Formats: sequence, C-alpha cells, structure tokens
Amino acid sequence: MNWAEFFSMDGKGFYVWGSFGAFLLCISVEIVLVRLRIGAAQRGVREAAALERDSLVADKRVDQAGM
Amino acid sequence: MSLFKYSAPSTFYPLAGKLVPWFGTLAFVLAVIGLYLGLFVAPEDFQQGEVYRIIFIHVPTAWMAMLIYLVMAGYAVMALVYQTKLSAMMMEALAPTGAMFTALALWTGALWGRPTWGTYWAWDARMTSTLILLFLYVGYIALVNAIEDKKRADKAGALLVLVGSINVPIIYFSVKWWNTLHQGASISFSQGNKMAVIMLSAMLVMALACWMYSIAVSLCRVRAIILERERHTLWVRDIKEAQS
Repeated sequence: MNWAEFFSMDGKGFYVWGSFGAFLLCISVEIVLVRLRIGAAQRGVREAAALERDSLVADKRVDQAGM
Repeated sequence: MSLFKYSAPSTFYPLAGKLVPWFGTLAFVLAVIGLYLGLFVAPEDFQQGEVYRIIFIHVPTAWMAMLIYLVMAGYAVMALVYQTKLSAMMMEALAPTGAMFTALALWTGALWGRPTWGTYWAWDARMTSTLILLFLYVGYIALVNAIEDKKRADKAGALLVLVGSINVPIIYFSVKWWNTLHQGASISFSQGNKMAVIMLSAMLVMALACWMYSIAVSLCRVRAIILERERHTLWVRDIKEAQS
C-alpha cells in the first residue's frame, strides 16, 4: 500500500481528512470537556459539604458562647 | 424489579457509572472496525472516486443529529407529563452531543459538497433544515442556562424541544418533498439499499459507533449534572468519588 497515495485521496485529501479530522477532534474535545465537568462537579460537592460543616461548627460555637 | 426505580437521580447515578465503560468500549471497538472498513477495505467509488469516503462520517453524524433530538423530545414529554427530574437532566446531557453531531454533519457535508457539487453551501431544503436543527440545539442550551430557576428552565427547555421536533421529519423528508441539490436517501425502507454491501457495512458500523459513543458521553455528562444539581442532598455527600 502506498501511503502517499492513501493520504492524497486522489487529490481530495483536504476534503476527506478535513472531515475525518474534525470528527476525531470534536469527539476528543468533548471527552476532555465532560471529564473536566465531572471533576468540577465533584469539587462542588466537596465545597458544599465543607461549607455546611463550617457553618455547623460556627453555630455550635455561637451556642456554646451563649450558654 | 421496576425500571422506574432508575428514574430517580440517586439510583440512576451508580447505574450510569457502571454502563459508561461498556458503551465507551463498544464505541471505540466499533469505530476502529468502521474506520478500517471505510478507509482500507471499501473500494473507490466509480463516480466520485476517493472523496465519497466522507460518507462514513457524514451519514452517521447526520443520523445522530436527528436521533438525539428525537430522544430529547421523548424525554421532554416525560419531563412535562411525569415531572421527572432525571428526564430534564438527560435532555441537558444530550443537547451538546446532538449539537456537535449536527455541526459535524454540516461541516462534512460542506467538505463533500465542494468537490462533488462545486459549492460548500446552498440554501436547499436539507441543508437549511439541518442548520435550523443546529439553531434549535444551541437555542435549547442557551435557554436552560439563561433561566436560573432550574424547574422553570427545564419546563421552558422541554417545550422548545417539543415544538422544534417538527423539524426532524422535515429534514428527513426534505429530499422527497422538495427538489434539492442534496441527493436522496442512500437507504430507504421502501426502495431498499442503493450502496455496495461493504460500503453500507462500514457506514452502519460507524453509525453504531456514534450511537454507542453518544450513550456513553451523555451518561457521563448526566452524572456531572446530577452532582451539580443534587450537591446539597445527603445521598450525594455519601458518594465515594465526590469525597476523595
């Protein structure tokens, strides 16, 4: 198999590889974006839990100081 | 065991996590087989030469663009009728992938159109209705992100998706109803297949790969959406991945 011929696609390589390349690029970018979104969502859960813990501790302190 | 058990985010989240690797692996294997068949096994087309190979990307992406919108319309009905939170989340998870496939169908169509028709774009019925589909996807994403109250956003989004679903049969039948530059269907239920078996096989395998990919990526995204929306609930706090 001649690779140069394969990549030239009868002189229509720009159109063929422009299509296949865009397809692979879009899918790769989407996978990265979804992974980043999951990471951010997990961080959001941890931050929400930490905020709640902090406010509970602060409430306890206020209660103790009041006593 | 009832399937409705999985209509709650708390039960669907772990199920989706188990399904993603299976659908992801299937998508990868099918894509490798499809690309191999399409690029190395399928012969040159006697009329178009090598450039016809764009079909192995163009047709699957165009099919997925329409199919994902129809699936979203199904979820829209469930969201409006049964008020299920997960249906609205699934719509939100599917929309970016649907928009991506629509943009890819338009892009690959333009790149195929230039060498075969002599133009990247024409305002013909098939292309214009597909462009409208892209606007519907983008419009839905913009709408649900613009409304802060999630319940209202889901309802408005579901209505938009339902109204827009009229565009899908218009895209599909446009090549029959109007005299378009775009060619007719390569496979039709009434006229059968007009393609060589190996070309058809490569196209169907790629379509299946895109389908499996869409399921995997939307399940992944819906898990993120569930965490975003339910982060104040107790069951989310108990999830191990979110704690570490």
